[in-house]
Amino acid sequence: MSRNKSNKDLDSLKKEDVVQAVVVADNFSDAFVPLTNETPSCLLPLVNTCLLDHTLEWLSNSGVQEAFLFCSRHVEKVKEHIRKSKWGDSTSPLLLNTIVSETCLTLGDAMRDLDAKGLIRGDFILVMGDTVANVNLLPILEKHRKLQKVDKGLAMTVVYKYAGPSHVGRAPQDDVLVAVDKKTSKILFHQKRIASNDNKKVHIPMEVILDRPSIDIYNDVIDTHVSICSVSVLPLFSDNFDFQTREDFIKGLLMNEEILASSLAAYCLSDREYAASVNSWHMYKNVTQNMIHRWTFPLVPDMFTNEKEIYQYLRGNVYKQHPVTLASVECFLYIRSSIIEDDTVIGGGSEVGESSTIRRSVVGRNCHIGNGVKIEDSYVWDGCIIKDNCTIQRSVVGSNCVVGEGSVLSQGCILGQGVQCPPGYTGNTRLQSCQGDDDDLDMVGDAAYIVKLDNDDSDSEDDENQQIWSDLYCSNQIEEVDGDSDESSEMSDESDRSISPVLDDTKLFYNEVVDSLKRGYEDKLHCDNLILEINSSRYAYNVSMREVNLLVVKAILNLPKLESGSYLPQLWPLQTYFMPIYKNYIRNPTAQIDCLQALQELAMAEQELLTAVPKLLSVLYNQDILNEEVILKWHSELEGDSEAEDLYKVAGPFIKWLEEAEVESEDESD
Amino acid sequence: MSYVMVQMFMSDDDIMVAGEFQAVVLAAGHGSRMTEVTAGRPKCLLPIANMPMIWYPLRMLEREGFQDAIVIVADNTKSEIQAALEKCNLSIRLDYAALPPGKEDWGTADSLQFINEKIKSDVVVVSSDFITDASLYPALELFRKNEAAVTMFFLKPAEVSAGDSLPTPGPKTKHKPERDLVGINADTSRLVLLASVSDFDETLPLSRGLLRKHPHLQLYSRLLDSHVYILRKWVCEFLVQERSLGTLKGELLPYIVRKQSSKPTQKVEDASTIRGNTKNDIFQFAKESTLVSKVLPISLSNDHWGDMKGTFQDDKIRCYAHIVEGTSFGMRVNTLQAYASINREILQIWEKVTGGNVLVRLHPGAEVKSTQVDDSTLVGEGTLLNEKTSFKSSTIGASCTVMSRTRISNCVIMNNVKVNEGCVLTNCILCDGVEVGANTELKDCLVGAKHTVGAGDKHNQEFLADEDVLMEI
Repeated sequence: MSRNKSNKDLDSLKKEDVVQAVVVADNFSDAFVPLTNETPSCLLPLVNTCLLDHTLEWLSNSGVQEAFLFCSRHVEKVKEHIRKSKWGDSTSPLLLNTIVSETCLTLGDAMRDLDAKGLIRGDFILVMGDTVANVNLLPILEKHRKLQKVDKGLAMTVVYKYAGPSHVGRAPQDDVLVAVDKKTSKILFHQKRIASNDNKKVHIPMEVILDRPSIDIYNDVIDTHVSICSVSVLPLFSDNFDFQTREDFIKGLLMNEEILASSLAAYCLSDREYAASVNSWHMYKNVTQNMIHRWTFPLVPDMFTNEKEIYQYLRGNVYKQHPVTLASVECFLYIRSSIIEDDTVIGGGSEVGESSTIRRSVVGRNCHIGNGVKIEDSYVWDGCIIKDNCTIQRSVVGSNCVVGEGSVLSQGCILGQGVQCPPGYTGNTRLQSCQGDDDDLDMVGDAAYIVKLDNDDSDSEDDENQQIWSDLYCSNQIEEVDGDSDESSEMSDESDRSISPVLDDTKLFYNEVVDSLKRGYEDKLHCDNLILEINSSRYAYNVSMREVNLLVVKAILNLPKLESGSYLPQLWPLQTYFMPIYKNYIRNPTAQIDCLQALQELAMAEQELLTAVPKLLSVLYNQDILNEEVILKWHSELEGDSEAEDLYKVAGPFIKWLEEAEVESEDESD
Repeated sequence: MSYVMVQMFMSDDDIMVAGEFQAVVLAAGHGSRMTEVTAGRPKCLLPIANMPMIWYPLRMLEREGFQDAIVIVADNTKSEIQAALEKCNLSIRLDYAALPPGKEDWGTADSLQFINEKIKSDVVVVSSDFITDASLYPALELFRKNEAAVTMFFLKPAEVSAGDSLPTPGPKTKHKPERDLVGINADTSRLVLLASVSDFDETLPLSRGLLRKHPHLQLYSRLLDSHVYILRKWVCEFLVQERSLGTLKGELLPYIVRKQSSKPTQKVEDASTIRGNTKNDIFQFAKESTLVSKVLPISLSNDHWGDMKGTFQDDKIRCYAHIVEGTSFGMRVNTLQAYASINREILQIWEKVTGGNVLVRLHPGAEVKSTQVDDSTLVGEGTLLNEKTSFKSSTIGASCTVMSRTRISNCVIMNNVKVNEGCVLTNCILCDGVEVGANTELKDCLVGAKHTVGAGDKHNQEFLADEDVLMEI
């Protein structure tokens, strides 16, 4: 450790002895939009401390003496932050140089820029500015140097962390399969799940297998985005302009090993070491939990202090921050008859109202949480005001937001900084506080606009966005890949029948359908085009026809809910508008059953829809979408089902009319 | 505690049969990869240090504590083998099963099927050409511990240091061994993949489901399969039904290894289907003993972590593989190259391989008049070595005669061979009944059974045999 060494001492050391690190402040993705509209991704708070501080703390703890902070977006904010923090201080244990290059759009650009600037003198540690870790880097660096002696071409040691195939820390973006020669630690094969076009099988080149007595295939590691680089890495980036990401680099090196005369080594962290890059909501959630559970020790809330903020660590992994200044000043932690339990962190100066519940969540500093509020699996950042009787589940509320009374935020809802959510708002999308460049954003409240993701990009990128978009919500469902062997024929049948716990792909598909329909309705697109869109998403997610029927109907019926205002008045114009879609999908009795099942599922959950059921049935019946046999059969099956009792009753009058008018209707339908 | 453990891993039948395992030695092979030397005698009787080859695996079984073994032989070789083994002082009781002639080629699985009635417990199948000093115990433990269907026994071949080895006698052949691709779960030793390298062209496709179950997989491409297989009794029963599976290595084992990951097909309602036509699924055979099926659900032990699957991932069929670590010796003598090489090495590893058996260097019944017989030369019964001869690192069988002024080094000479005066034999293999004429020089040569090498000839790297034998090859 070099805590007491001054800069002069550092200079007098031999060049090789200085451990250098490059910290890339930007994550070059829009995973955290709209929160990253105004703030660089490395300054987003995780457990009330910004990611960059976590990263720098770790680097200085693990023996790094000099770090280059590479900024490309929101540079002033990063500089400002550094100036204010202990890293800007002259006593800082870490010599931090800020490098600015606003033209960089990818990691590759950043590396090329660094190469041009010629600041790096030897082996260096490359980390993202959003890394949370406690691993000591020196042994890894040493190992890298040892391997370098044997293999002169060694360019990079990639650091992996153990995470079994169904580990919660296995974010889709980092789900990786690696083949390693155990003797030499050399990486032979590296494939990210999302980069593979075959979802069932992994194809390992025979050449790789036959060239040595044995290889080890690891499907139980994830990429930590930490790497130890030789000097040759920067020129390699410069020589190969197509290397945009670290992934490109790894892939390119493995493919052209001979031409580039470079190789990669793998290092797997032991169980006690922790490292993770917070590059998606999935990881955000996972790392937060890990930190609360103290896997990242000593980087835990009650240890990671800046003198003024001290956390109290209580039973059940609850952390409460206390003001160290006199308790009479405004920094108080009021907790009256409210329940705060299970893995929760509450920042100083926050106030929690009566009979509120906070579970598995992080609340920032100086937040005002009203009475009767329920916050679960959510992250409320500094300075938020949550008014009475709100429910916030699996959502993120950016700093200084105001959530109006009785709002319900759920299922991956993300509020950008300063959003003012109108009272009674219900939603699960991303909101931002200002219009920004486009002025066609939907307004939900005074300072609340629905964020639009770029859907103009190619399909594959769309998928990726979707995944990131929803993974705060879906991450608990472990994706079950069928593909045990050639002979296995399980799954398919049963999974068709009970759809209610929606699987990952169908969930994604459903989101796409909702998006398509919404946009279609707003822009008055022709329904034929929408059908085309839905069909293409169907193939993209491999959703069975029956599920398509069910989900499309659900999406249409759910659409009014996403709009502000009341449900019923919006329902009818939508039904009329989307009638061609009904006609396209609901073609045969089986599809009609699906349609009714969707109706039933939603009506049982939604009081307003329940009242509309008779009219809906009659509309669909009159449009020849449902025929009376199916309706009658469906209705008779509802009888005696205690859960569907209301539905049965509500539909009763229509059924009666249907039975009476049977003859007549038969004529009509012919 | 240990009693319970033992009980737990014994199937019901085991309690009735004294031995937990039955050993089966497969000795009906013709040696199709080394026909040059097997024309005269069955492959399993080829001499290695003047002992028949099959003696080594039998000795190994004895060492591992087996008291009985079933030896499967071809019908026409039974008496010959029996006679040869009776001279060997083995304490293990041997039960010979002769495969009737008529069928041209008995596969290893066919042979096992044939003796089905003799199989009363789990089986250890050993090939008659396997020589090792490694213990079978770790593999047996693996088999017991996991209630495995099959356990295979692999060795890491010794790294051949270039230059030190003499060439294999006979004409140069392109030696291209078949290579297996073996995938083993590094944490549990589960055998997950068994295939031949030649089955794949550019890439090896691995299913993600498989990698999910076995997240850390080790793929080996240069392992030596010892052909020691430990088979659960039901596997033999399954073989009886599945007659199409002819060989163990080529057909049965890859099939079972593949079947591990599949689920039993849904039971068809018995009444509606015609019983005669439906074959029993392999899962009908793969039944755990009642005890194990009771123990497993309540046991807390698990062989993997990170998911909610049961022990063994709920697989009913489980294959395991044991790889011998360290410096153990192991070799399968199934090629000419291997035969030549084992003869050169056997004396150095004799102690380890035979478990301390006394090595008879010069048989008491031999008449050695030569003064130049070095320590690494063996002489068989009734052999006469005349004066003025020199022998280096050679094995000379029974009833041979070597005349004066002859030098022999690095040679294997089988029985009833006559070498006349003034010969120089270097690195040669001489089969039974060969006669070498006077003043002949042979280097790196193979001489087929009963062939007579003309006097005064010089041969280098050749295979010399009577024409009918050559035709066959």
